[in-house]
Amino acid sequence: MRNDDKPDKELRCFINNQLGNITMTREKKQLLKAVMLEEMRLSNQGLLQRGIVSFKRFLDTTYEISLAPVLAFTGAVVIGFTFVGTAHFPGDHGVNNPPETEYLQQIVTQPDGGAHVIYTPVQKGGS
Amino acid sequence: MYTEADIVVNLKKGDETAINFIIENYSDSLLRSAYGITGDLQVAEEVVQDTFLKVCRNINTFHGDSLLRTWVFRIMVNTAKNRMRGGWIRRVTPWGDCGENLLQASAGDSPEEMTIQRENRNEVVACLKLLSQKYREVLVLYYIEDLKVQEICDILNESQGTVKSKLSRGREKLRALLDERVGGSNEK
Repeated sequence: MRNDDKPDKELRCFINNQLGNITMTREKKQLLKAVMLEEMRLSNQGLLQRGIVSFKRFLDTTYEISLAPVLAFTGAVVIGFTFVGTAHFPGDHGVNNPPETEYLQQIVTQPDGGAHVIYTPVQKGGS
Repeated sequence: MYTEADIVVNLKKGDETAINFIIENYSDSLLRSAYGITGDLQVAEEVVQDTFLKVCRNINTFHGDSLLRTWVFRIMVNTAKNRMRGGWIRRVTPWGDCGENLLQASAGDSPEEMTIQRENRNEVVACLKLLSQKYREVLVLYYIEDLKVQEICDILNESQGTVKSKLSRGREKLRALLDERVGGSNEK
């Protein structure tokens, strides 16, 4: 008999046979009860008291943090800073460098056969 | 004998007997459904604990527009969905070391029978996990919890047509998967 031909009841029966016997243990039920009673007791207290207890619970609670999104976020921040940061903080590669002075060397021959060297300053670069 | 109205009134007062009542009556079925939806027993336990905590915190907002059971199951389904959706930060619910074995062995079950049963159970859960969330939650509520279509509509806040359609498509997909993975064992 194929499953397609089976009435709904049989599928229900099969699933129930496999999962129907899952129950919570007595210990866990007791623990659950204690947690609920504590929560109920807390809900009848003042806002300040609840705040203090919530803070204490926060300190006592363990949190699982997935590394993948955290690393992706950190990577995005680093890359973003690399691109945007260089535009805002150009460092030595920007346009505000002071002008540099170069010298042109010129040799003038004197009538007596001697040579006279003249250095002419030339401003280069800068803004 | 407690009526539902009594339970709600006493829960609002923080009465221990009412808390006992809902734990005894709802915890097992919530655990089964949460297991069917999440596919992980430990996660299912955490979902159940979170569900009961939410019941405590929000019982004053329950005005009897639906059955208490429907309201509790709605909280469980939403908690399980949020849990499945995940996030980059998650609170770990401490359960302690008490009682790890959730599967109650019935009297007379041999170790072989228990192993076969556990394997079949894992296969059913694996098949449910292969289905998409929208089919899985409907199938779990219908087949495991034996709820009526109208109750499922109230829990999921969806129309009858939508639920019936999901049920029909989900059933076909589940049967095909069970045929493929479990073979003839579900024809017993």
